[in-house]
Amino acid sequence: MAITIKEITMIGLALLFILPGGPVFANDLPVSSNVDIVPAAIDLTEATVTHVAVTATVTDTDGCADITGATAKLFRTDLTSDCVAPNPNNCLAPVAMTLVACSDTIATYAGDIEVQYYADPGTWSLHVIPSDVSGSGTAGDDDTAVINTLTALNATSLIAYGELALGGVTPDTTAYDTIVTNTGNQTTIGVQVKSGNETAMVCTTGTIPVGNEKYDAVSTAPYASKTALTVSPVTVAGVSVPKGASGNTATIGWGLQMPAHGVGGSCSGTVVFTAI
Amino acid sequence: MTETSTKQKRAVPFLFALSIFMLTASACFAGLGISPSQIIAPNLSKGSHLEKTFILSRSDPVEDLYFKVTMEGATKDWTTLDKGTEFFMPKGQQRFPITVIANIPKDAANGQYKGGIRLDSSSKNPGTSSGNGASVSLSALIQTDFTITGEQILEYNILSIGIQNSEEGSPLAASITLNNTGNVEARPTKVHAEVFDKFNTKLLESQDIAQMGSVKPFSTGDIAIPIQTKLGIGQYWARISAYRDETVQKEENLVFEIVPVGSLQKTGNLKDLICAKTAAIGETIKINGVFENTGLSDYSAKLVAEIYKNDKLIKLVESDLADVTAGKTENLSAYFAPEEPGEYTVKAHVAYSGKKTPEKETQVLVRNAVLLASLASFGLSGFMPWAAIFILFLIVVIIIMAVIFKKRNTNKT
Repeated sequence: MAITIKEITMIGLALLFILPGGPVFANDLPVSSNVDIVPAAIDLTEATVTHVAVTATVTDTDGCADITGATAKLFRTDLTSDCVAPNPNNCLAPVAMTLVACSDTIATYAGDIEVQYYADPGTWSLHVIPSDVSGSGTAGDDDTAVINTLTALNATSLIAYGELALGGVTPDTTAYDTIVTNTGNQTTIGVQVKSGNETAMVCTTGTIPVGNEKYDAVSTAPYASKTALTVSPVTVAGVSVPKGASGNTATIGWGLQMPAHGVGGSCSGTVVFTAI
Repeated sequence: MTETSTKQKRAVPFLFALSIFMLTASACFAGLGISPSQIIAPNLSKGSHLEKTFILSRSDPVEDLYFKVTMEGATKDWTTLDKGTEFFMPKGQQRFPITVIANIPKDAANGQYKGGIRLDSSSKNPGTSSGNGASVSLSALIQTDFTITGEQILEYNILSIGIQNSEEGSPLAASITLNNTGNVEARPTKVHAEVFDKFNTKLLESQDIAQMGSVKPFSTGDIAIPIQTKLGIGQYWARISAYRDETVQKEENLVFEIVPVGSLQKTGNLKDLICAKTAAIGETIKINGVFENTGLSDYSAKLVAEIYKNDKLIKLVESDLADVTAGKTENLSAYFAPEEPGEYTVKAHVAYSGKKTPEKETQVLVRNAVLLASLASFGLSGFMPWAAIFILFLIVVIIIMAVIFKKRNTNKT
């Protein structure tokens, strides 16, 4: 009889251990909190990535040793679709975070997220999902940061006009093009140009007036219809350069007329480009 | 023709060539960016002071890049740059912070004012081309848009709420990061804090905090929220809510620990001391101390700067006391307007929590405004002061030589 009771007790205890929801092996899922993006206002770097530091605390009432990891995603807050597939413009995910410290029920995680120069400006959110052996836990309050607008450009470094006779005009070709690249995250940039000096060029003998150097969004536009360069900055009509990793360039065509007299030798000047 | 006049004539083309060489702008081979690219202040009051930091950046910092600054439009007389009107971005540095300072005159009329700050770059090494050619240089433009109003406007948003670990017996170190876009100092009406056990289930303490610091107009800053507590060593949850009047502006659930006394060190580092290298008499010079709280708890700090001229202490200036959160970096700024020309030495340290950082120093060359203006008209001020001095020296030497030769000729005759 005594043996029978013992067997029943053992079976009962075994069921208590085995059945789902049994009190002994109940596992609490981890929760993230103290989610932080540094800095809170992010200024990107022209034509390259910017590193953004992220940290979070993960709490697990079963003890921090129970936590298996934390994953971060940084995304544009007003994104209408869920940030699942990575998109350097608006969704940086998933980013595995690294365990920094573990004490009692609290673990601290840190991560480094590379943000491309063309990432959308605006408010972005950081979402941290912790996990333990049973699966994903609960994400705490998101932190937000603002990615500022980076207005940036690059331009091919020289406009080589070659040799010109006195009174001569450069042909209306693409040979004198400047390629302008939007190397920031402003949706589209316009371009302003001006002469770097009071004259267009200084020659071995004499100078070339600033208005003799001309530009146009269409390289093959006749010299006469191109716009004369000025000492003050002027926005180039018809040039709008979109942001992105590709397709982010535009062309400005140039032309030059040599004065009929008073100029000799080689000539050099500077054209200043500004993104607006 | 006399010997004197012959030598004088020989010197003129030499000087001319030298001037042309120095005035010629150069090419820049890398890209250039500015972030953000606008400073929009819709709620400025008359006499108000506004500062905003921008980051100049380039992906390929192969050489020093020189900048000449021009203020434009309706705001040109109100804005200055902490780096002065000419500065350079050193080789190897991808990112370069600059701060725009705007002082709105007390007699400015209400209305909208637009302008810009243009930063024209040039390098030492111009591009080369065979025959005729134009090199390309890049410029960055910060657009300004100020609206002056006669009303007092309280407008802010709370960016984040944080809490640091505290030592047993000390108040809990919570903090609020607030972006003040209004024209008066801003802070939450009150902060409500609830503390729970480490399982976030049992409420242990609860209190309202109404006494706290504030953030100056048109800036973002941290406000320390000291929360009195009797908690023992252990781990806890805090639910902190920041109110504007009776509305919760932001609420966060945060984990923190109470640790034994002596566990949290208070340390700090004055990372950099920045101010303009040149200035004119009477011009306000901003002395900016980049200070990092390298400890594990929050505290207040201020920059203390001693101004020396000819090894003589002539003035002591201080920044306002600022709350610096653990692990964060804060710019602490003090101001000084020199009254005489000459070379000044600025020696500064940061005082915090009864301690002070090691001293850093920098020099400022203060010039007579008239001389500065005449040099500027020749394009010779700022980053080429030695070139300007060299040319002036040459001119003086030539004049002296001319006088000597004239005297000799007079004696011969």
